Amino acid sequence: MITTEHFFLLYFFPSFILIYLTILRYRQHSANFFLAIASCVFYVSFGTETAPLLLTSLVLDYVISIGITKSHSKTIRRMLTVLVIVENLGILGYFKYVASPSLFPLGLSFITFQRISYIIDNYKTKKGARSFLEFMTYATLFPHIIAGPIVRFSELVNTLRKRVVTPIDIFQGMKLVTVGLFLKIIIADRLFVYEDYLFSHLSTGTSLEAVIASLFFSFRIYTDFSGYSFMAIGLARLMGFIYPENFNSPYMSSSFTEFWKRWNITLSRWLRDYVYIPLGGSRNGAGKTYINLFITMTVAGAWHGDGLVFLIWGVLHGSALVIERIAANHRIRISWPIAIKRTIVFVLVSILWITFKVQSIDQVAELIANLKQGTFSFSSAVSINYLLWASPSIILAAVWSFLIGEQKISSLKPSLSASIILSIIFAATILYSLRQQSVPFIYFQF
Amino acid sequence: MNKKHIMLMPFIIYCMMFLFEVLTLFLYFPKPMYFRAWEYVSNYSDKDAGTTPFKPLITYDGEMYGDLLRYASFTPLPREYRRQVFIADEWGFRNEPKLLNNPITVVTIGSSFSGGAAETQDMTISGLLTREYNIPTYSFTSQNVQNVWEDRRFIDNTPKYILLPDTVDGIIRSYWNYALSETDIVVTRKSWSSRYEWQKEMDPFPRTYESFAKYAKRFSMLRQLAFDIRLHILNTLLSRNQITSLSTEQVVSYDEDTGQLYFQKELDYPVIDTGGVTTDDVKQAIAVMRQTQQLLDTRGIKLIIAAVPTKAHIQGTDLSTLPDNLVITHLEKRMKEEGILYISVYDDLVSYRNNNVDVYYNDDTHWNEKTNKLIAEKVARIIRESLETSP
Repeated sequence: MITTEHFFLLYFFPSFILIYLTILRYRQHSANFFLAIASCVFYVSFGTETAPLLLTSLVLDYVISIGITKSHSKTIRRMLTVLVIVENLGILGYFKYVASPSLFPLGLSFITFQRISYIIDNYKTKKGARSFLEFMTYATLFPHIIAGPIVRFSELVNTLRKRVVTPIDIFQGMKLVTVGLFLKIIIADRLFVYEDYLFSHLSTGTSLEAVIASLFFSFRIYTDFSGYSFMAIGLARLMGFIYPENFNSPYMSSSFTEFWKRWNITLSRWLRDYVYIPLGGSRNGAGKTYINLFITMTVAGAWHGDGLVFLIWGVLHGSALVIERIAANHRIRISWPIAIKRTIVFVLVSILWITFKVQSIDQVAELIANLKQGTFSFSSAVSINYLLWASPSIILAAVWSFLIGEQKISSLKPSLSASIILSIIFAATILYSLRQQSVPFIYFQF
Repeated sequence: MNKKHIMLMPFIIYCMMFLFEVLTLFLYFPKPMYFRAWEYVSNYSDKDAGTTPFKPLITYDGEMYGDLLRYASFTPLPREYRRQVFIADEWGFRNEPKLLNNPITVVTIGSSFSGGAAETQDMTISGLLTREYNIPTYSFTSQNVQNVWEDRRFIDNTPKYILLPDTVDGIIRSYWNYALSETDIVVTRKSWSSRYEWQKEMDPFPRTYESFAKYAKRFSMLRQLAFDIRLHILNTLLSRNQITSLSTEQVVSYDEDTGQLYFQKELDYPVIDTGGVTTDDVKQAIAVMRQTQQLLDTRGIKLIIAAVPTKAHIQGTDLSTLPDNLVITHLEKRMKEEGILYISVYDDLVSYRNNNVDVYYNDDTHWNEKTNKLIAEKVARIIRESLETSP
């Protein structure tokens, strides 16, 4: 039941939200219970095979977190924290590197990181959930359980305990859901059709088509993931939860350092707080800083997948960050126009995204071989037709990435015209989504 | 409109869409989800779709248009609407109920060509034989010779002929339609007293999440609206030629001069000879037919084959450029040599074509009632001649 599917959009979520808002208004204390049940139903709709394991892990983590909160011994608290971290990483490692890929529980990477953030914050602050229900509601919240944003307990604790959904929340929620749906259905899924065609015809395609395919994928991964994030944040807002933003026009970055402050922000934040800073961050001299940066990004790569290509992706991003840090430390400044810098960063990031699409060294080699041909034409009339068909989406993707972006949406205030436009876009996007087969979100595979 | 209403407007629209979807799922029946009667009457139950092709005792009497229009993303023109009546019997086959209460002379088998997917009930081969020629014919579409052999009903009420009408490609390549092995298996099919009895047992309202989600999507009025809106916008802004040439999938080819639609794959190899079918394939097919006929002889049944040239062949090709020794003519010759009853329609269809008479529907993959009438007439002649010569 993915969030852009017919059943979710037109049955599950509207039924859920209407009942939930009614319960929230009249029986506040039951709202979390209903929400937790709905979240479990949402999760098991993807399959029940690994549900018992994840539920057991949930209970175990909660029980241990009580021990962490209540224990007066720092040693015991630390040991219990490490135990939970090892347990969660162990489960993640097992499913990622040992078990069959078909068994991989959906969203496990995000669940693991969220759980670790909870337990570490609990260790530091001793401010965990007051009840199992509260913990379960937080840990299973369905808008973000599959692919983030990675939300900290401290960000939700107040609303978990008491919340009211106001008309402004409804408007903001619907606004974000609409934008998310639009990015996913009208832009990302349409880009996918041509991109998929080109990548499956790489061996017979031209160099121009290889470049187009890479460009399409670069825009698709952004609009797909940010679309999902928008939807998650919007759905949560409709329930009264305010999630942190997860993207901020990443393709407008003029450096890799800036890119990682704008892309998957909650993941960057997590890596900074739970990997980079515990390793020492930038506190122990330049050399150690570079190593810590490098390790952090390698972890990011490994988190995304078990293939060598993901590791290479992480290593290359780490290398870029290190190079920029070295340049900054030595006050080496490149005074090119910002547009040039942004273009270079965009091109380099797009090249690195290819590893997420092809996912094997052999296919990367095939792509490089294709590019080396130097053929700048289209291989068939069908290819041109696909491009024509997808051209509105690529234009919209470029406009979104370079002109509009998340900030402009956040600042959109309720007004009659905004409501009318949103309503039309929302209805049209849903109708459009019903016509076609849903394309899974890219980040679901992580 | 106060500020609160303004802020809630998108959410209210969402709720209205939800209510519309739920109410039309549960309150609006039958669903207009089908682009032809075939989908309305077909059995999609997980339990018995393999043995019961249509919903038992269903009746459809309404409009339909060709299947190729959908592939081409065309909205039907007024002249492309046809009335179609479709009736299924108590076993879920396309016959009048209780047809098997009387002796049967012919059983027709095979695919949707045999079943008359594009035809109204009376204009199917079985309908024509039964009504116009008083030759009781049972339509056993989707089934094959083996199924006839094993079916209790045809052991008790043995037909004299099994008729397989199909395209020449289907005849030569689809052995499973007429291959027969001698078995003692006897299949007793369930007959239903009403459609609702069948539905309650075989196609109940879905109760699991997955089956309900599939059902809800299939019968989604909003989804149907989305399809219709897209089709209408496309056909308003663009001509049929433009729609086809801009298509990314190139599944269908459109001939603007004649208004004919073809599957592109069929048009790429309009004559099966160029598609890799050879005289060796004919030899193999006939060997299987011969074996089948030998077995059928033990029950006094004759196999009749009617091989029709494909639409791309008969209507999409310049016939004057075709060589004489085509596979279809070779098939006819070999069938005659082997003594297998064969309905030859090729020359008649060429003659129709030369007189600018269509023998296939322009908007459908299936041949039209002219071809059905031709086949029915020739089958009737064979049967009459056989009755005259038999002792």
